[in-house]
Amino acid sequence: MFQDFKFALRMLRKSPSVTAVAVLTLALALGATTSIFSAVSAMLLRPLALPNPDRLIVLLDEEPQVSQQHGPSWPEFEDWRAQAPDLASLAAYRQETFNLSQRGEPLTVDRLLVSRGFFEVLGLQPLAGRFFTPDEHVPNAAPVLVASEGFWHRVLGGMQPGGTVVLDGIPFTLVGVVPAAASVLTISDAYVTLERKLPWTDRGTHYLDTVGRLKPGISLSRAQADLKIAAPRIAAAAKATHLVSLVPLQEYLHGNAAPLLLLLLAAVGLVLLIAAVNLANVELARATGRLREFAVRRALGASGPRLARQILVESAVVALAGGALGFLIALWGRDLILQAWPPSLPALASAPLDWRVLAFAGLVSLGTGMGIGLLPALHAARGDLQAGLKEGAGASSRGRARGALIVAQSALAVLLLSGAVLVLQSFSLMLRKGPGYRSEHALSVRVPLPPSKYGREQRIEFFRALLERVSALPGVRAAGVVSRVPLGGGSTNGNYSVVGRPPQDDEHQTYAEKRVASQGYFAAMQIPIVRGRAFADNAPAREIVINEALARRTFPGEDPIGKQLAEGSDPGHDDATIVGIAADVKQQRLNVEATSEIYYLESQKGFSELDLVVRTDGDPMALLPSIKARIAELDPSQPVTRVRTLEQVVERASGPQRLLAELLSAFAAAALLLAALGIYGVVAYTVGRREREIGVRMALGARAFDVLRMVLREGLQLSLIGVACGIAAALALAQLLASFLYGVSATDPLTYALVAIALSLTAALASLLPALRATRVDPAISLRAE
Amino acid sequence: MSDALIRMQEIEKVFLTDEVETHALSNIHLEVKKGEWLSIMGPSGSGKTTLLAILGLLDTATDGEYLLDDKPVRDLPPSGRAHVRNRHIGFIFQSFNLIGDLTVAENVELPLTYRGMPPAERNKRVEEALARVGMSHRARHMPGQLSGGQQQRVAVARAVAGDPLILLADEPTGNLDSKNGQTVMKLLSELHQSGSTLIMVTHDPAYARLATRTVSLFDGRIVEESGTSVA
Repeated sequence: MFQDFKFALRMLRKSPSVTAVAVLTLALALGATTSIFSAVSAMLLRPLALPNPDRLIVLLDEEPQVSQQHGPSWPEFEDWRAQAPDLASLAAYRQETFNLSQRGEPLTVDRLLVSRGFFEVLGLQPLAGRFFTPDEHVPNAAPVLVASEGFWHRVLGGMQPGGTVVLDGIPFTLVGVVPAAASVLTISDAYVTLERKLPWTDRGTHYLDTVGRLKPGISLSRAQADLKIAAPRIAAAAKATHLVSLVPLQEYLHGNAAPLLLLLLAAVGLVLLIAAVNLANVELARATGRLREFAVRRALGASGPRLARQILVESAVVALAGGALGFLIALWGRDLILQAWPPSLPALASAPLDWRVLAFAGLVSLGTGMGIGLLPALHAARGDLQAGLKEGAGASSRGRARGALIVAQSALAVLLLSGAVLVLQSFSLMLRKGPGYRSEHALSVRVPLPPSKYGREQRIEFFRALLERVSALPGVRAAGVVSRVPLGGGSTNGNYSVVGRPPQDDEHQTYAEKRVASQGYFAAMQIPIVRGRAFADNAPAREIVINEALARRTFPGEDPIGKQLAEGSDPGHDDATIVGIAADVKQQRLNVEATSEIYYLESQKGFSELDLVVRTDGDPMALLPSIKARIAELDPSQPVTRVRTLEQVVERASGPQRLLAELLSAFAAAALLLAALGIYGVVAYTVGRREREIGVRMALGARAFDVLRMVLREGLQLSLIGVACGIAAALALAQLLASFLYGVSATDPLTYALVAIALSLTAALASLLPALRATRVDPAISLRAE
Repeated sequence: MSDALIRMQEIEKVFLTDEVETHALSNIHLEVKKGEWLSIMGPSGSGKTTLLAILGLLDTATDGEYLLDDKPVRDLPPSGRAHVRNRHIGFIFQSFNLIGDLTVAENVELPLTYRGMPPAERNKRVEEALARVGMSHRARHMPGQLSGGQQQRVAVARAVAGDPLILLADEPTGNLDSKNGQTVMKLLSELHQSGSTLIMVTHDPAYARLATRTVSLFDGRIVEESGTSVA
C-alpha cells in the first residue's frame, strides 16, 4: 500500500496542473458540502445542550379539521398534564415582555412565564439561589423572578438572590439564576411563574408552549402510539374536538429548518457529484493514456485487483487532499451561512466543525475518491492484456464510459438547474406579488404597556393619544396600531361563527386569523378596503373588518357587509357587525396565500401590547427619535421594542426563500460550469484522439462544416440524453420541492423547456471550441503520422 | 484542351520548421493521362507521400501549377478542395484508415454521404462497390472484425464507390502479408483494366512493374521515368 501511495504521488506530480485543478475542484465542492453539513449537524444532529435531551418532548394541540398544530390553552394543558400517558412531567411556558425602567433608559425585557416543574423538566440546576417553590406557582403569589445567566450579568450586575428588580412597576424578588442552557427553548432574560396570572379559562385561544420529559424506559415511538390512543379519550372528557400529538423537542425547535437544510444539502451534494463525475472523466482519460503501462504491469504478473487498488489509491489521494483543503474552505463557508441565516427560521447561533463534521468531510472525501477512481480501476483490472499491448487499443469502451459520465453529469446539472430555476421563479413571483401592503416608507414599533400600570381604559387612552401625537409629526402621512404587524411573526387565531346561521358541528368549524387594529391602521399600511369601509372613529357598536379570503369562504355569492360574526362556535359571544372587506394580506409567510382574517377595533378591545405603524414621506427611520419622544411625553418610563421598517419585516419573512434562491442559484451556476467543463473536456479529448479519423474524413471529402457538425452533434447527443434523464428525474422528485414554491408548479413545463435549452446551449458552446479545433485538422499532417 | 487528367508544372514544396527550410519537392513536372497507372517509387524521405498528398489535394504546393481535369486546383479554398477530393479522388491508405466505429457498409458510404447523395443511390453504390471487391458478405461487420487484407479491400471499395476520376494509393500493400498484398494488387489491376486511373506509391519494384509507368523520386526530384504513357 505504501508503494502504491508513493507511486500515486509520483503520478500526480507528473501532471501538476491537472492534479491542482482536480484538488481545487474537489476542495470547492467538498468545502461547500461540509459548510452546509455543519449547519445540518448543528441544527438537526447535535443533541440539545440539556441533560438527556432525547427524553424531552413537546405536546401540541392538533386541529384535525384544518390540519393545524399549535400550542395549547391552559385548560387543555391541564388536561394533558393530568391524563397524557408516559410522561414523567410536563410544563407550559409563554413569552411576554416586561418594561425595566429602574436602570437608566427604559428597557424591554423578554420574560418567560413558566408553569410548575418547568426547570425540573429541563433537568437544570440553578447557577445561584434556587428555582421556584410550589407555593410560588399559585394565583396571586408573591412576585418572584429567576434571571437568565446573561441578563443577571449584563443588566443586574450579578445581584445576589433576595434583591429586588422592578418590572412593569412591580417589585420582583430575585430568587435564583438559571444557566444559559435554558435559552435552548427560547431566548429570555427572566423567568416568572405563570400561575400568578391564573385563572385562564378560555379553551379556544392557544397561547402556551409545552415541554415534557418521558418516563424512564418509555421510547418515543411508544409514547406517540400511547398518546394517539389516549387523545380522543382526553378530548371527549373535556367535550372538546382538538386532539393532542407528541413530537421530540429537537424536532419541534429546529424542525422548521430541516426541509430547507436538507434541500440545500441535496443540492450541494449534486454539485459534488457533478464535480466527481468530471474528475472521473479526467481519471478515465488518464487511464486510457496508461493502457500500455497497465498491460505491461499485468504481463509482469500484477493481478487485476492489484492494478485497481493502485488507481483507487491515486484518486483517494486527490480526494483527501481536496477534502483537507475543503475543510478549510468550510470554515469560511460556515461563517457565510451563519451570517446569511434567516432570522425567521430557528436560531442558528453556531455551527461548530466538530467530530461529526470532520467525520462527514473525511468519509465524503474518501467516498468521492473511490467513486472517481472506480471506472478507471475497473478498466485497468479488466482490460484485455493482448489488446493493451497494441497501439491505440481499447479506446472504444472507454469512450462509451466517458459518454455515460457526460450523460450522468448533464442529468445531474438539469436536476439542479431546474430546481434552482423553479425556486428563482417562485421567489421573483413572491416578491412581485408582495405582502399585500406597501412596505416602503413605513415603520413599525412595538409598544408594550405593562398591564399592572395601565388598566383597559388607560391603555385605550394611551394609544389614542399616541396616535394623535404621532400623526401630527411633520413627515407622517398616516399612523395606526395593530396587535401584530402581518409577516412580523406570531399568530393569533380562533374559530368564529355567523350570526343567524345554525351552530357549526365539529367538522365544519371555521377558523380565522384575528388581529386587533385601530381606525387608521389600513391607511398606515396602505391595505385597500375593497368594499364597505374601514373602522369608524369612535364606533359606538362592535364592528369588524374581514379580509377577502374570509368573504370568499364564508359568504360566497353574498354581500357580507352588515352580517354579524361571533367569536367561537356559538353566536351570542361578542357578536360584531362586518363593516368592510380589506384586501388580502400575507400573514405568516410571504409564500403562503392569505387565510381568513378578522380585524377587531382596537378601542373596543383594549390590548396592552401593540405595534405602532407609521407611514412616512421619507426615510421612516429618520422619524424614530421623534416617535420615541412622543411616547416619552406620554410615559417617560415606557420603552419600545421591535423597531423595524416594513421593508425589513418583508425581508425577514422572505429570508428562507431568499437564502434558498441564492444558494441554489450559486450551486446551479457551479453545476452548469462544471457540466460545461466536463463536456468540453470529453469532446476536446475525443477530438484529440480522433485527429486521424477526422483527417480520413477530410480526405474523403468532408468539409470543415461537416466536421464541425459531426463534433457538435456528438457532444450534443450525449448532453441531450442527459437532459432527458435529468428532466425525468426532476419530474419524479418534483414534489420534494413543491413546499418551497409559490405561484409556480413544480412540474412547470416552461421551466423544464428553458432548462433543456440552457443546458443544450451550454453543451453546444462547450463543444464548439474543440469542434472548431477539429475543423483545423490538417489531413496531410494527421495522415502523414502513419 | 489537353488529354492529360493531371498536369503538374514546376511544383515546389517547402516545409519551414523553426528556421530550417526543407525542400520536399523541387521542380516537379508530371502528367497523368486518363486510364493510366502511374507508380511512384523512391527511398524514404524522397517526397513520394508529399507528392501524393499534393496530387490528392490534401496538401498544397508552395509553388507551381497543378491542373486536375484541366482545372487549376492549387489555389482552391478548403471547401473547394474538399469538394474535389470528394467527387474526383479516391484514396487508398497504407493502414486502411477505416473508421472503427462504423460498419463496413457505413465506411464505404461515408464519401457518398458527404456528397449529399440520396440514401437509395448510396445504398446501391455501396452494394456495387463491396461486390466489386468481394466483401458484400461483410457489409454489417465492424472493421475490427476483419483481417488486414479484408480491411484494405473495404478501403478500395470506399475509394471507388464515388466513381472518382483518379485513385491514389499510398503503399497499399505496406501493412499486408504477401498473400493479401497480392490480392489487393490484383484488385487494383482489375480496376485499372476496367478504366480507372491509378497513382500508386510503393517500395516494391515487383508491384511497381504492374503499373504502366513508373517515376522515381530522390531528394524531392523526379530522377527517373520508365514505361509508356498511354493515350
